[in-house]
Amino acid sequence: MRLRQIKKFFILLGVLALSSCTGAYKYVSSKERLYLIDRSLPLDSSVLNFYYPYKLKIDSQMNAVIANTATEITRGRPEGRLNNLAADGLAAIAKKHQIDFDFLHINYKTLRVPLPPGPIRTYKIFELMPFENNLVSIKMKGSDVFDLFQYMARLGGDPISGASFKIEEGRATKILIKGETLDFDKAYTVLTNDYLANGGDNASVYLKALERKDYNVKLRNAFMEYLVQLNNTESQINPQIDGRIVSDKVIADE
Amino acid sequence: MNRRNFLQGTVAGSVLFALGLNSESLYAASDFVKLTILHTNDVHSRIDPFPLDDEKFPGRGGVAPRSALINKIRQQEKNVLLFDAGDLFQGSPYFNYYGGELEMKLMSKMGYDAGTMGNHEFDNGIEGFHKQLPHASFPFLTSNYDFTDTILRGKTKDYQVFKKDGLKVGVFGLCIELSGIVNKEQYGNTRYLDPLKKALEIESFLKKEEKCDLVICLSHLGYDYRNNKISDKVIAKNTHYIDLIIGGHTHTFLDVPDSVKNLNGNETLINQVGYGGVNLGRLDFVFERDRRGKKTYSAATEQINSYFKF
Repeated sequence: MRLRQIKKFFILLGVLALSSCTGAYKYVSSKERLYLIDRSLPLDSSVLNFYYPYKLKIDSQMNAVIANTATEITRGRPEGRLNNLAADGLAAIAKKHQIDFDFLHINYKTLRVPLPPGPIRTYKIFELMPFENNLVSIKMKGSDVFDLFQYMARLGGDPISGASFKIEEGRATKILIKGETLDFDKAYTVLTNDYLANGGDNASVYLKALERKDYNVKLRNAFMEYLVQLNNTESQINPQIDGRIVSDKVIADE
Repeated sequence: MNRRNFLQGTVAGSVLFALGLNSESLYAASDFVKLTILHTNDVHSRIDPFPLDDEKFPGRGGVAPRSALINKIRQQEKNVLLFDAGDLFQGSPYFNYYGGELEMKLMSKMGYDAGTMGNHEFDNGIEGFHKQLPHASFPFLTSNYDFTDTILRGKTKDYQVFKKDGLKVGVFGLCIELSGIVNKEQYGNTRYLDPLKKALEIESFLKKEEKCDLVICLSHLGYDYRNNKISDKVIAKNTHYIDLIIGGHTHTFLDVPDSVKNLNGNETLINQVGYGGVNLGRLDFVFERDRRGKKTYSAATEQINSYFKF
Protein backbone atom coordinates (compact mmCIF):
# COMPACT_ATOMS: atom_id res chain seq x y z
CA MET A 1 0.00 0.00 0.00
CA ARG A 2 1.20 3.46 -0.86
CA LEU A 3 1.63 5.78 2.05
CA ARG A 4 1.78 9.40 1.21
CA GLN A 5 2.44 11.87 3.91
CA ILE A 6 1.44 14.99 2.04
CA LYS A 7 -1.69 16.21 3.60
CA LYS A 8 -4.18 18.29 1.83
CA PHE A 9 -7.09 19.82 3.52
CA PHE A 10 -9.31 22.68 2.80
CA ILE A 11 -9.53 24.70 5.87
CA LEU A 12 -12.66 26.63 6.21
CA LEU A 13 -12.99 28.98 9.02
CA GLY A 14 -16.10 30.27 10.57
CA VAL A 15 -15.90 31.67 14.00
CA LEU A 16 -18.88 32.24 16.14
CA ALA A 17 -19.45 33.24 19.66
CA LEU A 18 -22.45 32.98 21.85
CA SER A 19 -23.81 34.56 24.92
CA SER A 20 -25.53 32.82 27.76
CA CYS A 21 -24.66 29.47 29.18
CA THR A 22 -26.19 27.74 32.11
CA GLY A 23 -23.28 25.44 32.89
CA ALA A 24 -19.89 26.14 34.38
CA TYR A 25 -18.50 27.00 30.97
CA LYS A 26 -19.03 29.81 28.58
CA TYR A 27 -19.16 29.04 24.93
CA VAL A 28 -16.65 31.35 23.30
CA SER A 29 -16.13 30.37 19.72
CA SER A 30 -16.28 27.66 17.13
CA LYS A 31 -14.22 26.83 14.11
CA GLU A 32 -14.97 24.52 11.24
CA ARG A 33 -12.84 22.46 8.95
CA LEU A 34 -13.70 20.16 6.14
CA TYR A 35 -11.21 17.40 5.47
CA LEU A 36 -11.21 15.77 2.09
CA ILE A 37 -10.65 12.06 2.43
CA ASP A 38 -8.46 11.29 -0.55
CA ARG A 39 -5.42 9.35 -1.69
CA SER A 40 -2.98 11.87 -0.29
CA LEU A 41 -3.83 10.75 3.23
CA PRO A 42 -1.88 8.00 4.95
CA LEU A 43 -3.74 4.73 5.56
CA ASP A 44 -4.46 3.12 8.88
CA SER A 45 -2.91 -0.30 8.33
CA SER A 46 -4.63 -1.82 11.36
CA VAL A 47 -8.00 -1.01 9.79
CA LEU A 48 -6.83 -2.32 6.42
CA ASN A 49 -5.59 -5.55 7.95
CA PHE A 50 -8.80 -5.93 9.86
CA TYR A 51 -11.07 -5.86 6.85
CA TYR A 52 -8.70 -7.48 4.36
CA PRO A 53 -10.22 -10.98 4.72
CA TYR A 54 -13.68 -9.52 4.04
CA LYS A 55 -12.29 -7.63 1.05
CA LEU A 56 -10.53 -10.62 -0.51
CA LYS A 57 -13.71 -12.64 -0.62
CA ILE A 58 -15.68 -9.82 -2.22
CA ASP A 59 -13.00 -8.68 -4.66
CA SER A 60 -12.58 -12.09 -6.25
CA GLN A 61 -16.24 -12.08 -7.19
CA MET A 62 -16.69 -8.38 -7.82
CA ASN A 63 -13.96 -7.88 -10.37
CA ALA A 64 -15.33 -10.35 -12.90
CA VAL A 65 -16.15 -8.65 -16.22
CA ILE A 66 -19.71 -9.45 -17.26
CA ALA A 67 -20.14 -7.18 -20.31
CA ASN A 68 -18.59 -4.23 -22.16
CA THR A 69 -19.78 -0.84 -23.32
CA ALA A 70 -18.02 1.60 -25.64
CA THR A 71 -19.89 4.60 -24.26
CA GLU A 72 -21.18 5.69 -20.90
CA ILE A 73 -24.73 4.49 -20.29
CA THR A 74 -26.67 6.98 -18.21
CA ARG A 75 -30.15 7.30 -16.80
CA GLY A 76 -32.37 10.09 -18.05
CA ARG A 77 -35.85 11.55 -18.10
CA PRO A 78 -38.21 11.16 -19.82
CA GLU A 79 -36.09 8.31 -21.23
CA GLY A 80 -32.50 7.19 -20.75
CA ARG A 81 -30.30 4.48 -22.24
CA LEU A 82 -29.80 3.03 -18.78
CA ASN A 83 -33.55 3.13 -18.10
CA ASN A 84 -34.22 1.14 -21.28
CA LEU A 85 -31.37 -1.31 -20.73
CA ALA A 86 -32.53 -2.08 -17.19
CA ALA A 87 -36.25 -2.21 -18.00
CA ASP A 88 -35.84 -4.34 -21.16
CA GLY A 89 -33.28 -6.55 -19.43
CA LEU A 90 -35.49 -7.27 -16.44
CA ALA A 91 -38.47 -7.88 -18.74
CA ALA A 92 -36.41 -10.33 -20.86
CA ILE A 93 -35.24 -12.31 -17.84
CA ALA A 94 -38.71 -12.32 -16.30
CA LYS A 95 -40.07 -13.83 -19.54
CA LYS A 96 -37.27 -16.39 -19.45
CA HIS A 97 -38.41 -17.32 -15.93
CA GLN A 98 -42.00 -17.62 -17.25
CA ILE A 99 -43.28 -14.68 -15.23
CA ASP A 100 -46.52 -13.41 -16.70
CA PHE A 101 -46.98 -9.64 -17.20
CA ASP A 102 -48.13 -7.00 -19.68
CA PHE A 103 -45.49 -4.35 -19.10
CA LEU A 104 -42.71 -3.49 -16.68
CA HIS A 105 -42.21 -0.38 -14.59
CA ILE A 106 -39.46 0.34 -12.08
CA ASN A 107 -38.51 3.51 -10.26
CA TYR A 108 -35.93 5.81 -11.82
CA LYS A 109 -34.00 6.31 -8.62
CA THR A 110 -33.36 2.60 -8.27
CA LEU A 111 -30.71 3.09 -10.97
CA ARG A 112 -28.12 4.60 -8.67
CA VAL A 113 -25.06 5.08 -10.88
CA PRO A 114 -24.28 5.23 -14.64
CA LEU A 115 -22.28 2.52 -16.41
CA PRO A 116 -18.92 4.03 -17.42
CA PRO A 117 -17.35 3.10 -20.78
CA GLY A 118 -15.19 -0.01 -20.75
CA PRO A 119 -15.59 -3.39 -19.11
CA ILE A 120 -18.60 -3.69 -16.81
CA ARG A 121 -17.60 -5.53 -13.67
CA THR A 122 -19.89 -7.17 -11.17
CA TYR A 123 -19.27 -4.51 -8.53
CA LYS A 124 -20.67 -1.84 -10.82
CA ILE A 125 -23.99 -3.63 -10.97
CA PHE A 126 -24.00 -3.76 -7.18
CA GLU A 127 -23.49 0.00 -7.16
CA LEU A 128 -26.15 0.43 -9.83
CA MET A 129 -28.69 -1.72 -7.98
CA PRO A 130 -27.56 -1.90 -4.38
CA PHE A 131 -30.96 -2.74 -2.98
CA GLU A 132 -32.22 -6.22 -2.25
CA ASN A 133 -35.38 -5.81 -4.30
CA ASN A 134 -37.37 -8.67 -5.76
CA LEU A 135 -39.66 -8.78 -8.78
CA VAL A 136 -43.35 -8.48 -8.00
CA SER A 137 -46.28 -8.59 -10.41
CA ILE A 138 -49.33 -6.46 -9.69
CA LYS A 139 -52.63 -6.97 -11.48
CA MET A 140 -54.64 -3.75 -11.58
CA LYS A 141 -57.65 -2.22 -13.28
CA GLY A 142 -57.12 -0.31 -16.53
CA SER A 143 -58.25 2.88 -14.80
CA ASP A 144 -55.56 2.37 -12.13
CA VAL A 145 -53.01 1.69 -14.85
CA PHE A 146 -54.03 5.08 -16.24
CA ASP A 147 -53.28 6.60 -12.82
CA LEU A 148 -49.94 4.81 -12.76
CA PHE A 149 -48.99 6.49 -16.02
CA GLN A 150 -50.11 9.86 -14.61
CA TYR A 151 -47.81 9.18 -11.66
CA MET A 152 -44.92 8.52 -14.08
CA ALA A 153 -45.77 11.64 -16.06
CA ARG A 154 -45.69 13.80 -12.94
CA LEU A 155 -42.18 12.51 -12.25
CA GLY A 156 -41.16 13.25 -15.85
CA GLY A 157 -40.82 9.58 -16.85
CA ASP A 158 -39.71 6.28 -15.29
CA PRO A 159 -37.99 3.19 -16.72
CA ILE A 160 -40.59 1.07 -18.55
CA SER A 161 -40.66 -1.83 -20.98
CA GLY A 162 -43.56 -3.05 -23.12
CA ALA A 163 -45.43 0.26 -23.01
CA SER A 164 -45.17 3.77 -24.38
CA PHE A 165 -46.74 7.17 -23.74
CA LYS A 166 -46.40 10.88 -24.22
CA ILE A 167 -46.11 13.53 -21.54
CA GLU A 168 -47.99 16.71 -22.38
CA GLU A 169 -48.07 19.44 -19.75
CA GLY A 170 -47.36 16.90 -17.06
CA ARG A 171 -50.15 14.52 -18.19
CA ALA A 172 -49.69 11.08 -19.69
CA THR A 173 -51.37 10.74 -23.07
CA LYS A 174 -51.40 8.22 -25.94
CA ILE A 175 -50.74 5.35 -23.53
CA LEU A 176 -50.00 2.11 -25.38
CA ILE A 177 -49.57 -1.26 -23.69
CA LYS A 178 -47.85 -3.81 -25.94
CA GLY A 179 -48.71 -1.50 -28.83
CA GLU A 180 -52.40 -1.28 -28.02
CA THR A 181 -54.39 1.61 -26.57
CA LEU A 182 -54.99 1.32 -22.83
CA ASP A 183 -58.42 -0.13 -22.12
CA PHE A 184 -59.92 1.20 -18.87
CA ASP A 185 -62.19 -1.80 -18.49
CA LYS A 186 -59.47 -4.38 -18.86
CA ALA A 187 -57.13 -5.61 -16.10
CA TYR A 188 -53.40 -5.47 -16.70
CA THR A 189 -50.43 -7.05 -14.96
CA VAL A 190 -47.51 -4.77 -14.20
CA LEU A 191 -44.15 -6.22 -13.34
CA THR A 192 -42.30 -4.06 -10.84
CA ASN A 193 -40.18 -4.32 -7.71
CA ASP A 194 -41.36 -4.89 -4.15
CA TYR A 195 -40.46 -1.31 -3.25
CA LEU A 196 -42.99 0.21 -5.65
CA ALA A 197 -45.47 -2.62 -5.13
CA ASN A 198 -45.55 -1.66 -1.46
CA GLY A 199 -46.38 1.92 -2.38
CA GLY A 200 -42.82 3.26 -2.11
CA ASP A 201 -41.83 6.55 -3.74
CA ASN A 202 -45.43 7.63 -3.19
CA ALA A 203 -46.62 5.14 -5.82
CA SER A 204 -49.75 4.45 -3.78
CA VAL A 205 -51.58 3.34 -6.94
CA TYR A 206 -49.85 -0.03 -6.54
CA LEU A 207 -51.71 -0.54 -3.29
CA LYS A 208 -54.92 -0.87 -5.35
CA ALA A 209 -53.70 -4.22 -6.63
CA LEU A 210 -56.34 -6.78 -7.60
CA GLU A 211 -53.73 -9.46 -7.26
CA ARG A 212 -50.08 -9.58 -6.24
CA LYS A 213 -47.41 -12.19 -6.90
CA ASP A 214 -44.01 -12.00 -5.26
CA TYR A 215 -41.21 -13.73 -7.12
CA ASN A 216 -37.99 -14.86 -5.52
CA VAL A 217 -35.99 -13.12 -8.25
CA LYS A 218 -33.71 -10.27 -7.26
CA LEU A 219 -33.62 -7.36 -9.66
CA ARG A 220 -29.83 -7.18 -9.49
CA ASN A 221 -29.40 -10.87 -10.25
CA ALA A 222 -31.88 -10.67 -13.12
CA PHE A 223 -30.09 -7.66 -14.58
CA MET A 224 -26.71 -9.37 -14.31
CA GLU A 225 -28.13 -12.48 -15.93
CA TYR A 226 -29.31 -10.27 -18.82
CA LEU A 227 -25.91 -8.60 -19.23
CA VAL A 228 -24.11 -11.95 -19.26
CA GLN A 229 -26.61 -13.17 -21.87
CA LEU A 230 -26.03 -10.04 -23.98
CA ASN A 231 -22.29 -10.44 -23.65
CA ASN A 232 -22.54 -13.87 -25.28
CA THR A 233 -23.97 -12.38 -28.45
CA GLU A 234 -22.70 -8.79 -28.56
CA SER A 235 -19.19 -7.50 -27.98
CA GLN A 236 -20.54 -4.16 -26.77
CA ILE A 237 -23.88 -3.44 -25.20
CA ASN A 238 -25.49 -0.42 -26.79
CA PRO A 239 -29.01 0.38 -25.58
CA GLN A 240 -31.00 3.00 -27.46
CA ILE A 241 -33.50 5.69 -26.72
CA ASP A 242 -36.45 4.61 -28.86
CA GLY A 243 -39.16 7.14 -28.09
CA ARG A 244 -41.16 4.95 -25.70
CA ILE A 245 -41.63 8.10 -23.60
CA VAL A 246 -41.77 11.44 -25.36
CA SER A 247 -42.15 14.56 -23.29
CA ASP A 248 -42.83 18.19 -24.12
CA LYS A 249 -40.30 18.92 -21.38
CA VAL A 250 -36.95 17.38 -20.49
CA ILE A 251 -36.25 17.11 -16.79
CA ALA A 252 -32.64 17.38 -15.66
CA ASP A 253 -31.19 14.46 -13.74
CA GLU A 254 -30.97 15.07 -10.01
CA MET B 1 -16.64 48.93 12.69
CA ASN B 2 -18.01 48.91 16.17
CA ARG B 3 -15.05 49.19 18.55
CA ARG B 4 -16.67 47.14 21.27
CA ASN B 5 -17.35 44.32 18.89
CA PHE B 6 -13.86 44.51 17.59
CA LEU B 7 -12.37 44.19 21.05
CA GLN B 8 -14.62 41.30 21.87
CA GLY B 9 -13.63 39.74 18.63
CA THR B 10 -10.01 40.14 19.47
CA VAL B 11 -10.46 38.58 22.86
CA ALA B 12 -12.33 35.61 21.48
CA GLY B 13 -9.75 35.45 18.74
CA SER B 14 -6.94 35.24 21.21
CA VAL B 15 -8.61 32.14 22.55
CA LEU B 16 -7.77 30.39 19.33
CA PHE B 17 -4.23 31.71 19.49
CA ALA B 18 -3.98 30.55 23.07
CA LEU B 19 -4.91 27.09 21.90
CA GLY B 20 -2.08 26.68 19.53
CA LEU B 21 -2.38 29.20 16.75
CA ASN B 22 -0.19 31.77 18.50
CA SER B 23 1.92 31.44 21.59
CA GLU B 24 1.74 35.11 22.42
CA SER B 25 -1.54 35.46 24.18
CA LEU B 26 -2.75 37.32 27.20
CA TYR B 27 -4.80 34.31 28.14
CA ALA B 28 -3.44 31.04 29.37
CA ALA B 29 -4.74 27.98 27.57
CA SER B 30 -5.83 26.57 30.90
CA ASP B 31 -8.57 29.20 31.04
CA PHE B 32 -10.20 27.54 28.10
CA VAL B 33 -11.43 24.14 27.07
CA LYS B 34 -11.42 23.16 23.44
CA LEU B 35 -13.77 20.50 22.17
CA THR B 36 -13.29 18.94 18.75
CA ILE B 37 -16.29 17.41 17.03
CA LEU B 38 -15.64 15.14 14.04
CA HIS B 39 -18.47 13.87 11.92
CA THR B 40 -19.60 11.86 8.91
CA ASN B 41 -22.99 11.11 7.35
CA ASP B 42 -24.42 8.80 4.68
CA VAL B 43 -21.23 6.77 4.40
CA HIS B 44 -23.32 4.08 2.67
CA SER B 45 -21.04 1.09 3.22
CA ARG B 46 -18.14 2.80 1.47
CA ILE B 47 -15.38 0.86 3.14
CA ASP B 48 -12.98 0.95 0.20
CA PRO B 49 -12.29 4.30 -1.47
CA PHE B 50 -14.45 5.06 -4.53
CA PRO B 51 -12.99 3.23 -7.55
CA LEU B 52 -10.70 5.21 -9.84
CA ASP B 53 -13.25 5.08 -12.66
CA ASP B 54 -15.90 6.65 -10.47
CA GLU B 55 -17.62 9.55 -12.16
CA LYS B 56 -17.68 11.92 -9.20
CA PHE B 57 -15.17 10.86 -6.57
CA PRO B 58 -12.38 8.73 -8.07
CA GLY B 59 -10.07 7.52 -5.30
CA ARG B 60 -11.91 9.46 -2.62
CA GLY B 61 -13.14 8.17 0.73
CA GLY B 62 -12.31 4.86 2.39
CA VAL B 63 -12.12 3.82 6.03
CA ALA B 64 -8.31 3.38 6.14
CA PRO B 65 -7.47 7.02 5.32
CA ARG B 66 -10.40 8.23 7.42
CA SER B 67 -9.18 6.26 10.39
CA ALA B 68 -5.62 7.58 9.95
CA LEU B 69 -6.93 11.14 9.87
CA ILE B 70 -9.07 10.61 12.96
CA ASN B 71 -6.11 9.06 14.80
CA LYS B 72 -3.96 12.03 13.91
CA ILE B 73 -6.51 14.53 15.16
CA ARG B 74 -6.89 12.52 18.36
CA GLN B 75 -3.14 12.77 18.90
CA GLN B 76 -3.30 16.55 18.47
CA GLU B 77 -6.47 17.28 20.40
CA LYS B 78 -7.40 16.34 23.92
CA ASN B 79 -11.19 16.38 23.67
CA VAL B 80 -12.52 14.69 20.55
CA LEU B 81 -16.01 13.36 19.89
CA LEU B 82 -16.81 11.44 16.69
CA PHE B 83 -20.37 11.18 15.38
CA ASP B 84 -22.29 9.82 12.41
CA ALA B 85 -25.67 11.02 11.17
CA GLY B 86 -27.00 7.78 9.68
CA ASP B 87 -27.20 5.70 6.51
CA LEU B 88 -24.05 3.80 7.29
CA PHE B 89 -25.69 0.82 5.55
CA GLN B 90 -26.21 0.11 1.84
CA GLY B 91 -24.27 1.18 -1.21
CA SER B 92 -21.45 -1.32 -1.68
CA PRO B 93 -21.18 -5.12 -1.89
CA TYR B 94 -19.82 -5.12 1.65
CA PHE B 95 -23.37 -4.50 2.80
CA ASN B 96 -24.89 -7.03 0.42
CA TYR B 97 -22.47 -9.71 1.56
CA TYR B 98 -22.07 -9.01 5.25
CA GLY B 99 -25.27 -7.15 6.09
CA GLY B 100 -23.59 -4.23 7.87
CA GLU B 101 -21.37 -6.24 10.20
CA LEU B 102 -18.21 -4.67 8.82
CA GLU B 103 -19.60 -1.11 8.91
CA MET B 104 -20.44 -1.51 12.63
CA LYS B 105 -17.12 -3.16 13.46
CA LEU B 106 -15.06 -0.54 11.66
CA MET B 107 -16.96 2.38 13.19
CA SER B 108 -16.35 0.83 16.60
CA LYS B 109 -12.69 0.40 15.79
CA MET B 110 -12.47 4.06 14.74
CA GLY B 111 -13.99 5.00 18.08
CA TYR B 112 -17.28 6.55 17.03
CA ASP B 113 -19.00 7.98 20.11
CA ALA B 114 -22.57 7.86 18.77
CA GLY B 115 -24.62 7.57 15.62
CA THR B 116 -28.23 7.87 14.56
CA MET B 117 -30.30 5.61 12.30
CA GLY B 118 -30.90 6.48 8.67
CA ASN B 119 -33.69 4.98 6.57
CA HIS B 120 -31.23 2.54 4.98
CA GLU B 121 -30.53 1.03 8.38
CA PHE B 122 -33.87 -0.73 7.76
CA ASP B 123 -32.83 -2.23 4.41
CA ASN B 124 -32.62 -5.74 5.83
CA GLY B 125 -35.58 -5.07 8.09
CA ILE B 126 -35.49 -4.26 11.79
CA GLU B 127 -34.12 -7.77 12.27
CA GLY B 128 -31.21 -7.00 9.94
CA PHE B 129 -30.22 -3.98 12.01
CA HIS B 130 -30.83 -5.76 15.30
CA LYS B 131 -28.56 -8.59 14.20
CA GLN B 132 -25.64 -6.20 13.56
CA LEU B 133 -26.13 -4.07 16.65
CA PRO B 134 -23.91 -6.23 18.90
CA HIS B 135 -20.99 -5.28 16.61
CA ALA B 136 -21.36 -1.60 17.55
CA SER B 137 -19.57 -0.37 20.65
CA PHE B 138 -21.32 3.02 20.43
CA PRO B 139 -24.98 3.96 20.99
CA PHE B 140 -27.54 4.76 18.31
CA LEU B 141 -29.56 7.82 19.28
CA THR B 142 -33.08 7.70 17.87
CA SER B 143 -35.30 9.92 20.02
CA ASN B 144 -38.27 10.11 17.66
CA TYR B 145 -38.50 6.41 16.83
CA ASP B 146 -40.62 4.47 19.26
CA PHE B 147 -39.38 0.88 19.11
CA THR B 148 -41.58 -0.33 22.00
CA ASP B 149 -43.35 -2.94 19.89
CA THR B 150 -40.26 -4.14 18.05
CA ILE B 151 -37.18 -6.20 18.83
CA LEU B 152 -35.20 -2.96 19.04
CA ARG B 153 -37.02 -2.01 22.23
CA GLY B 154 -34.46 -0.67 24.68
CA LYS B 155 -31.61 -1.23 22.20
CA THR B 156 -31.26 2.40 21.14
CA LYS B 157 -31.23 5.61 23.20
CA ASP B 158 -32.90 9.00 22.91
CA TYR B 159 -29.79 10.91 23.96
CA GLN B 160 -26.42 10.54 25.58
CA VAL B 161 -24.43 13.00 27.70
CA PHE B 162 -20.66 12.99 27.18
CA LYS B 163 -18.27 14.51 29.69
CA LYS B 164 -15.03 15.93 28.34
CA ASP B 165 -12.60 17.88 30.49
CA GLY B 166 -15.42 19.00 32.74
CA LEU B 167 -17.64 19.94 29.79
CA LYS B 168 -21.04 18.33 29.40
CA VAL B 169 -22.07 17.63 25.84
CA GLY B 170 -25.64 16.51 25.32
CA VAL B 171 -26.28 14.61 22.08
CA PHE B 172 -29.62 13.35 20.78
CA GLY B 173 -30.79 11.81 17.52
CA LEU B 174 -33.63 12.69 15.14
CA CYS B 175 -34.71 10.27 12.44
CA ILE B 176 -36.73 10.52 9.25
CA GLU B 177 -40.31 9.43 8.64
CA LEU B 178 -40.16 5.92 7.20
CA SER B 179 -43.59 5.69 5.63
CA GLY B 180 -43.26 6.24 1.88
CA ILE B 181 -39.50 5.64 1.69
CA VAL B 182 -39.11 2.30 3.45
CA ASN B 183 -41.39 -0.72 3.07
CA LYS B 184 -43.72 -1.19 6.03
CA GLU B 185 -42.64 -4.82 6.37
CA GLN B 186 -39.07 -3.62 6.88
CA TYR B 187 -39.73 -1.10 9.65
CA GLY B 188 -42.59 -3.11 11.16
CA ASN B 189 -44.07 -1.58 14.30
CA THR B 190 -41.60 1.28 14.54
CA ARG B 191 -43.58 4.39 15.43
CA TYR B 192 -42.40 7.72 14.05
CA LEU B 193 -42.83 10.58 16.50
CA ASP B 194 -42.92 14.29 15.63
CA PRO B 195 -39.23 15.27 15.47
CA LEU B 196 -39.79 18.94 16.39
CA LYS B 197 -41.84 18.04 19.44
CA LYS B 198 -39.21 15.56 20.51
CA ALA B 199 -36.38 18.04 19.84
CA LEU B 200 -38.05 20.70 22.04
CA GLU B 201 -38.52 18.18 24.81
CA ILE B 202 -34.98 16.80 24.75
CA GLU B 203 -33.10 20.06 24.18
CA SER B 204 -34.85 21.55 27.19
CA PHE B 205 -34.00 18.51 29.29
CA LEU B 206 -30.34 18.52 28.19
CA LYS B 207 -29.96 22.26 28.80
CA LYS B 208 -32.01 22.75 31.95
CA GLU B 209 -31.86 19.42 33.74
CA GLU B 210 -28.57 18.00 32.59
CA LYS B 211 -27.01 21.49 32.38
CA CYS B 212 -25.14 20.65 29.21
CA ASP B 213 -22.60 23.16 27.92
CA LEU B 214 -23.23 22.12 24.34
CA VAL B 215 -26.29 20.50 22.75
CA ILE B 216 -25.80 18.53 19.56
CA CYS B 217 -28.46 16.93 17.40
CA LEU B 218 -27.55 14.03 15.09
CA SER B 219 -30.20 14.25 12.41
CA HIS B 220 -31.20 12.12 9.47
CA LEU B 221 -34.10 14.42 8.57
CA GLY B 222 -32.32 16.10 5.65
CA TYR B 223 -30.88 19.59 5.32
CA ASP B 224 -33.65 21.59 3.65
CA TYR B 225 -36.67 21.03 1.41
CA ARG B 226 -38.58 23.30 -0.92
CA ASN B 227 -41.86 22.44 0.75
CA ASN B 228 -42.55 22.64 4.47
CA LYS B 229 -41.25 19.16 5.14
CA ILE B 230 -39.46 18.88 8.47
CA SER B 231 -35.71 19.36 8.02
CA ASP B 232 -32.60 20.47 9.87
CA LYS B 233 -33.38 24.06 8.88
CA VAL B 234 -36.87 23.81 10.36
CA ILE B 235 -35.56 22.20 13.56
CA ALA B 236 -32.85 24.87 13.93
CA LYS B 237 -35.29 27.76 13.52
CA ASN B 238 -37.89 26.37 15.88
CA THR B 239 -35.81 25.25 18.85
CA HIS B 240 -33.97 27.13 21.64
CA TYR B 241 -30.82 25.38 22.76
CA ILE B 242 -29.33 23.31 19.95
CA ASP B 243 -25.80 24.53 19.19
CA LEU B 244 -25.07 22.15 16.36
CA ILE B 245 -27.05 19.89 14.05
CA ILE B 246 -24.98 17.23 12.34
CA GLY B 247 -27.18 16.33 9.41
CA GLY B 248 -27.57 13.62 6.80
CA HIS B 249 -29.98 12.02 4.32
CA THR B 250 -29.93 14.72 1.62
CA HIS B 251 -26.23 14.05 0.81
CA THR B 252 -25.66 17.79 1.05
CA PHE B 253 -22.15 19.16 0.60
CA LEU B 254 -21.79 22.21 2.82
CA ASP B 255 -18.44 23.94 2.44
CA VAL B 256 -19.07 25.81 5.64
CA PRO B 257 -21.75 25.09 8.21
CA ASP B 258 -25.00 26.90 7.78
CA SER B 259 -25.89 29.25 10.60
CA VAL B 260 -29.53 29.69 11.54
CA LYS B 261 -31.01 31.99 14.18
CA ASN B 262 -32.95 29.93 16.71
CA LEU B 263 -35.92 30.90 18.89
CA ASN B 264 -33.60 32.37 21.52
CA GLY B 265 -31.95 34.55 18.90
CA ASN B 266 -28.77 32.50 19.11
CA GLU B 267 -27.01 30.77 16.26
CA THR B 268 -27.57 27.11 15.58
CA LEU B 269 -25.00 25.60 13.25
CA ILE B 270 -26.02 22.98 10.71
CA ASN B 271 -23.40 20.90 8.99
CA GLN B 272 -23.42 18.00 6.54
CA VAL B 273 -20.44 16.66 4.60
CA GLY B 274 -21.86 14.95 1.51
CA TYR B 275 -21.86 11.14 1.40
CA GLY B 276 -19.77 8.03 0.87
CA GLY B 277 -17.17 9.07 3.44
CA VAL B 278 -15.48 11.44 0.97
CA ASN B 279 -15.19 14.11 3.68
CA LEU B 280 -14.77 14.35 7.40
CA GLY B 281 -16.33 17.35 9.11
CA ARG B 282 -14.64 19.06 12.01
CA LEU B 283 -15.84 21.74 14.40
CA ASP B 284 -13.78 23.11 17.24
CA PHE B 285 -15.71 24.75 20.06
CA VAL B 286 -13.87 26.83 22.59
CA PHE B 287 -15.28 27.34 26.09
CA GLU B 288 -14.09 29.69 28.74
CA ARG B 289 -13.90 28.34 32.26
CA ASP B 290 -16.35 30.42 34.23
CA ARG B 291 -14.73 32.78 36.68
CA ARG B 292 -16.29 35.33 38.93
CA GLY B 293 -16.55 38.81 37.50
CA LYS B 294 -15.64 37.82 34.02
CA LYS B 295 -17.98 38.95 31.31
CA THR B 296 -19.48 36.73 28.71
CA TYR B 297 -18.03 37.23 25.30
CA SER B 298 -20.51 37.85 22.60
CA ALA B 299 -18.10 38.54 19.83
CA ALA B 300 -19.43 39.43 16.44
CA THR B 301 -18.96 36.80 13.85
CA GLU B 302 -17.71 39.02 11.06
CA GLN B 303 -14.80 40.54 12.93
CA ILE B 304 -13.43 37.27 14.16
CA ASN B 305 -13.96 35.78 10.78
CA SER B 306 -11.88 38.39 8.98
CA TYR B 307 -9.35 38.44 11.76
CA PHE B 308 -8.66 34.78 11.27
CA LYS B 309 -9.18 34.27 7.58
CA PHE B 310 -6.40 32.29 5.99
